[in-house]
Parts: sequence; structure tokens; C-alpha cells
Amino acid sequence: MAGENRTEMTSDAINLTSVTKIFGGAKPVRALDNVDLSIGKGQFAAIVGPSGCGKSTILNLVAGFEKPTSGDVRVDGKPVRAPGPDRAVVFQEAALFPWLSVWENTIFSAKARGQPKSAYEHKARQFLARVGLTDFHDHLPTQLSGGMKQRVGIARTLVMEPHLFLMDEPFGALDAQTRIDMQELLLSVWDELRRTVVFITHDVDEAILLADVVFVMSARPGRIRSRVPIELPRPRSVDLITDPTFIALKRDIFNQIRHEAHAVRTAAN
Amino acid sequence: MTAANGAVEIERGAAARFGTRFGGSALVVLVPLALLCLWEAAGAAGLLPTGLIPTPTMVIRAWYVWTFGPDTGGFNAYSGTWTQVVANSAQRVVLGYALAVLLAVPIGILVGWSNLVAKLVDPTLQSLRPIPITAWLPFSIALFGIKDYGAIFLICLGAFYPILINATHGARSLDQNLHRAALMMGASSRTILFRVVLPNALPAIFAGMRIGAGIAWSAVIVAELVAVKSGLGYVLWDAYYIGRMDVVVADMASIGMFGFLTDCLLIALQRRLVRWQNVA
Amino acid sequence: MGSRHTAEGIGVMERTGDLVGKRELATCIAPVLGALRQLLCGAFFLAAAGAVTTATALSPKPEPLPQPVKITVGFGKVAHLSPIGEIAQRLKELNVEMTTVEFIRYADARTAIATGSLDIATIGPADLPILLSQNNNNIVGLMGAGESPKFIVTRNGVDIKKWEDLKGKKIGVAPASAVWFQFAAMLKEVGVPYNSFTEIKIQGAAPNAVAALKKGDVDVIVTWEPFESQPVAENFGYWAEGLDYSKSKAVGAELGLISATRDALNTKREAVRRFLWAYLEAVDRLNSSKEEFAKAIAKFQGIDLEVANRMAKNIKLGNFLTLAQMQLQAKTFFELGLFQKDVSAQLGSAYDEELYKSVAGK
Repeated sequence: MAGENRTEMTSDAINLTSVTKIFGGAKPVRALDNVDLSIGKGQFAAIVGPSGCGKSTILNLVAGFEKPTSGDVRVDGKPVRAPGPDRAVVFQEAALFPWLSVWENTIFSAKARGQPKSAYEHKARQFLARVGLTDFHDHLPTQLSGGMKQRVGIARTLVMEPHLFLMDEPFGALDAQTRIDMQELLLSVWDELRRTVVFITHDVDEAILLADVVFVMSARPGRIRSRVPIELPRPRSVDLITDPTFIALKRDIFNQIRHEAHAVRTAAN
Repeated sequence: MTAANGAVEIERGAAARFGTRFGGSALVVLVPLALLCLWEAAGAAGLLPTGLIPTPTMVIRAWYVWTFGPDTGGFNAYSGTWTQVVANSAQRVVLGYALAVLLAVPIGILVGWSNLVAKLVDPTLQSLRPIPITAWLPFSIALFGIKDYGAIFLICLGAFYPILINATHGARSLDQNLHRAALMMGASSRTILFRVVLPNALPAIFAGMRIGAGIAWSAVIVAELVAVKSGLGYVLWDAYYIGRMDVVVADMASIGMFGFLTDCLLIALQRRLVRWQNVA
Repeated sequence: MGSRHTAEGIGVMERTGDLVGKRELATCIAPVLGALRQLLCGAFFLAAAGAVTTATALSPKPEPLPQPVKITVGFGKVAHLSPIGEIAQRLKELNVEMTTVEFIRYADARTAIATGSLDIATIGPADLPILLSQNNNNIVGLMGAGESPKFIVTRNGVDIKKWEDLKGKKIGVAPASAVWFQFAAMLKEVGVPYNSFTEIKIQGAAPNAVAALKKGDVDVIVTWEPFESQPVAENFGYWAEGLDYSKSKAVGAELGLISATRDALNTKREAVRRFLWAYLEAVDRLNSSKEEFAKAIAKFQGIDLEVANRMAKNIKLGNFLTLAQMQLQAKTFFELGLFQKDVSAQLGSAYDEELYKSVAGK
């Protein structure tokens, strides 16, 4: 693992080295304990684990929303200091601005950074069409379903053309059917873009379906328990979930998580 | 849906707005009408203190003369002078209220958004807040004498605090994810303040503005107590001194009416600017 | 001897009686002398009183009431009503328990008595027609409070020598106050149109008017004591001494009106009578000595003795109001458009002079 790290470090998109994160307060919580994590450029990495294991915390550290208590968080070799448009985030609850229309939400980043209309207009239209929302150009978020809101959430990050995408359980709040639609959308979009993605989820199926590599986390305090490469060919489709290779991977990862969850329960008792 | 829809909503008449607010049925007028009949009957039966509590018909008659009667000058101050009186008060209310909005919204947003500003400014504001407008009256007289500024000052003071408190709350209540979304999209602090915090706080600000507008109209009574030459609050006391209680009640009704109309106006404005919220 | 105080005179008479020799005359002459003494004292009293003032000849002190009666009296804290501060003890002797309630303006006292919260109230002479024109027939006027010359108070630096000089100035008045009626009537009679100057109605308490004058927000104020004397005492105002607005025909010089509810007159008439008697007794005493009057004013209003002296010089306490005057006032202001009805005819039944006459020895 260490050797791998050294050779991979030059081309790594994300590096966490000995990262510990403790949340203060009346009862301090050790969310992450000495985490080492490397994700290569252009990789689609999923992170799974039992509830409360700190998966979202890793994403927040990379995004720059939180700072590590100790350890090193680097993106493209440079330490993370603050949030920025090079690391676009897709939130679980979409987090669209309710007072802006679909279009205005999509182009918000470009306008906020002072880009001229000519720079963003064309690609914004394209990506809006790509997520299938052209007809909802002027709609307000209150007029959209959960799935449609999330499409906007994705579209706006696409317009930003960031170095990496951070997705925090983006389909967790959607119903099963919508979730499948969104997974298909993401698969096809990512096939074209091939940018680095960190994808947090509690849904093992989803992780295996979408990712090139799945990191399984231990229960709190979070550590990387294992790294499972997903060697399924692309382009992928949703019916892969019945494929034997898929099922084998699922069994492996599923058991790892169950083991971790069980450990938490026995520890609690 | 589109801008057209928003426009359609605004174009509904005031009557429809009244109806929509209260359920839009004839039941709405039932209780007020019954109360008025009861009041008139009490007057006819001699149950009201004579000379002090007028009957509805006396009030309506006085109001009619006050609005449509001939303005002969002289000492009859309540003939044909209603429009002028309303204009005088309305002017002060508008100025005082506008000032309150211009001060309270930025200060409120900054207090809600910035811990530093909160620490500097909030304690002073909160300690002055419990002082009711009436208690400010002698101070206002000492400061402004009998000029119009005194009235505008008191009206501004009355409207200021509800707007401030609601703006503060609106700014504080920004969802963490919305804030993070703005940050990751590369928005500067200034952009976040004007393009995220402020719009997010608009529903709360409007709630505060509606309360503030109501208080502004009631403050006009207090504010016009001293030597302000005209206006609804002024007439209230002047008519009382000369024993015209029918004008006093007509004046009260006028103030209530304008308070209500102002609220309707603000709701219409809110519907236009805050389209993403359902406005009651 | 004629100018000596009454008590001293009585003392001299007693000493004379002693010199004559008590023992010898004790049985037969003493009662005669006693009667003679009383007669001479009475005559002397009258003479003394007559020499100092032309005030009323007070009727003899009435008997105390058999049962204590409570009366509630509303008043304004103004110089010409200071007798109110002098009579509580006397009333107790007459078995009348007086509770006083203070009001800032006559209009407030008028409202209070109109609602039946008071038995007796001091109001303005115009307040009676105001009540009548609002169909309130429950209040009866009993007697006036006093009179004085009334001068407008002008700010230093503004030159007012004749009535015409008021044109174009800013004049602060208290709406519907007794002094305003005097002022308005006077202006009409001297031919200065009311719209030839800027009227600024200053509501609420008179100190607001004084403050406005001091600040320069108004040039002239029309008000009552002690607020008329205050600008002079503090050196920012003066009285335009030629312009006395108490001299109008329509309103006259009366400063206030003591009134009672019909209810009080029906159920507590004797108590009201004793109130008036005690009031007039105090009026006589204060009228007879400007020093006493000044002290009473100072105590009543809580002001400087020096300022009180000025006021005591100007004000003459007593009943100067007549029914005819009130009727003229009511009619005049109906014609001017201030009152909605001409109630001059109704005033007759709203004015009861019997009580006043009975205690004033008339």
C-alpha cells in the first residue's frame, strides 16, 4: 500500500495522510482516526460504511468545509485551505437557491465569479439539456420534484467544469425509481467527462454500479478498512446488478459493512 | 410559474384580495355588521354615555362631512379637510417607515450574519428596545421641538425594531448547505451577503416590514400629539378637546383603514418579490 | 384702627371690657357687653374686609353634616384654583370628605365629570356649551373661579406692540382651552383675521408651549399661569402689556368654571354647598392678602415664591361669570363654526346660581 502511494502520489487527485478529525463540544466526537486515502486522477471513487462512520466528514475535509484536527489533506498536491470552484459539491438535499430559477441556479457560479455571458451561456444550455431540464428553464425549485432538483444540482456543477466532483449521498433522498434514473444519468455523463469523483453513499449497489474503486470504512472512529477495485467494464448499465461479478463484489463489501456495524453494536453493549 | 403568473396574481383587485385573505364569503361581514347594529341600538336606547360615545350613524355622518363637506376655513376644522389630513399623516408615515427600512434591513442582516457586528451593536439595540414609543415622547419633544422631524423620528423608531429583529433572524437562518453551496461555487463574501443572505432573509424581512407598517400607523397617533399642525393623530386629540367624539371615532376608523391598506400593499409587494414562498 | 387686622381689633375690645371690672358687672352687664362686643366685632370685621377687598360677603359657617359625605373633586393645577389646596381641613370640620383628582387640561376634567367619575370639576366656561352641543345634559355650572388680565407671551426679539403685529407670526395655542376662546373672541373684536397668522396648536401640557417658545418654534404663546410667567422669569419672553385679551365682549375675563353633576346636586347637594362655602372662604382670605395668596399658589403649584408673587398680583379670585356671558360665548362660537349647535338657550337650565348665592351671602 505504501509503495503504491508513493508512485501514485504524483498523479493523485486527492491525498489524505494521517488525517484525524475530532469534533469538539460537551462530548467530543472522534469522527476520523488516522485516515490514509489516495484517489487517482480521473477515478470514480465511492466511499461506503456503516452510519456515522465519518464518510461525509472526509468529503467535507476535501471540500474545505472543515479543517482536519491533525494530518494532511491535499488536492492535486496542494493543501486544501478553503472551499472553491475547483472542487464542486453535490449535496444530498440539492441545496438550490429557492429564489432563483433553474437557469439562474445553473449559472450562479459563473456569474458570481464575474464570467461574461459568452463564456458560460452555451455550455450552461448544453448541460441543462444533458440533464433533461431545458423545458424547466424558468421554473423555481419549489415547482420541481426531488429528482429534478438534484439534476439542477448536478447541472450547476457541470457548468463549473471543476477538477473534481464531491457528491454527498446525492440520491439518498430520492425514491427508488428516481434513484435509478439518476444513476443512469450520472453514468452517461461521467463517461463523457471522466473527471475525478468522490461519491459518498450508504447504498452498496449504487457504489459498485458507479465506481471504479470502493473504499469501505470502519465504524466510528472512522478508518479506511479496505479498498475494493471494481473491475466491471464500461459503459455500464443498471441491469449489471444481477451480474455474478457484481453480486460477488456486493457480497464482499456488504459483509464488511455488516461486520463493522455489528462491532459497533457489541461495543455499545 | 412564469413572470406572467406573478403578474396575474397582482392584478387581482383589492376586494378579491380581501376575500382571499379571509375566506371570500359573505360570512366575513356578518359579525362586524352585527356589532355595528348592536352599537347603534345601544345608542338609541340611551345606554351609551351621552356626549362621549357616538353611535355608528353619528360617526358616518361626521366622516362624510369631514371628507365631502365644504372647506370653509374658519373654526370648523372637520369639514372637507379629510384628504389633506390623511396626506399629512401619510407623508410622515412614509418617511418614517422608509427610514426605518433603510436602517433596519442592513443593520439587521449584518447583526445576523457577522458575529463581530453583533457583538458591537446588538447590546445597545436590545437595551433600547423595551422602551415604548410613548416613553420616547418627552425626549423627542426636547430634541426636535414641534417640528415634523419629531413625528418622523417616533414613527421610524416604532417600525425599526420589528424589521430589525426579523431581518436578523432571516440572516441567521441561512441553511448551512446553502452557505456551503455558495462557498464551493466560488462566491466572495460580498456576493454571499448580497446574493445569498439577503434574498434568503427576504421572507423574514417582509414579515418584519408588515408588523413595522402596522406599528408605524399606530405610532402616528403618539407622534402627532404635539404641535404637529395636522394629521390623523393630531385630529384625534384636537377633536377630543373640542368635544367632537364622532370625529374621534371616524379618525380611528381612518387610521385602521390605512393600516389595513398598507398591509395589503406589502403583501402584494411580497408576492412579487418573494415568489418562492406562499404568502398568507 | 380701621386698617388694623381684625384679630387685633377684637383683642383691644376684650381688654376694654376687663378695665371696666368684671366682678361688678358680671351678673347683669356682662351678657349685654358680650352682645355689644359681638356686634362691634362683626361691624369691625365688615369694615376691615371692606377696606382691603371688594370680595363677597361670606355667609355664616354652615353646620357640619350629620353624616360624613364623600365628594370627588377634579381640578387643574393652575394658580386661580389654588383655593382647592386650602380647604381640605375646613371641609373635614363640616363632615365632608373631599378626594381630589388632578388633571392637566380642562378638557380632561370635562371628560372625567361627563363620565360620572367626579362629583365636582373645574372646567372652562366654554366646556359647558361643548357638552351641551354633544347632547350631554348632566353637568351644571355653579360659579366662576376668578379673573385676571391676559397678555400674550412673546419671545424676546419679536416685536409685538399692537394687535396687528400678530399678523404673519407663529402663534402657539392650546386647542379648545379657555384662554383660546378668550383669544379668538378678542381677535375677532379687534379685527385681526384668524388666518392672518400661523396658528400652531400645541396639544397636551402647557410646558410644551413654553419649550416651543424657548426654542423659537413659535413667536407667541397663548397660555395660562404659571406658564405665562415662566418665560419672563427665565428671561426669554415678555408680556405685550397693551394687548389684554381678557377684555372681549363675547368671552370676558373669567378663568374657570366650577361645575357639578346633576346627580351630585340631587344626592349630595348640602355637601356641594359646603364645598362652595369653604372654597369662597379661602377665596376671601387669599384675596385679602397678596402674600397669603402668593404662598398658597407656590404651595399649590410647587413653584418659586417670586413667580407666585407676580401671579398673585394679577389674579383676582371670585365669581365673575354670568349666565348672559356664557350664552353670548356659546352663540358667538356657533356662528364662527366651532360648535355644531347653538346651545345658548339651553345654558339656562345648565347653570344653577342658587348654591353660590346661598354661600356668598347674597
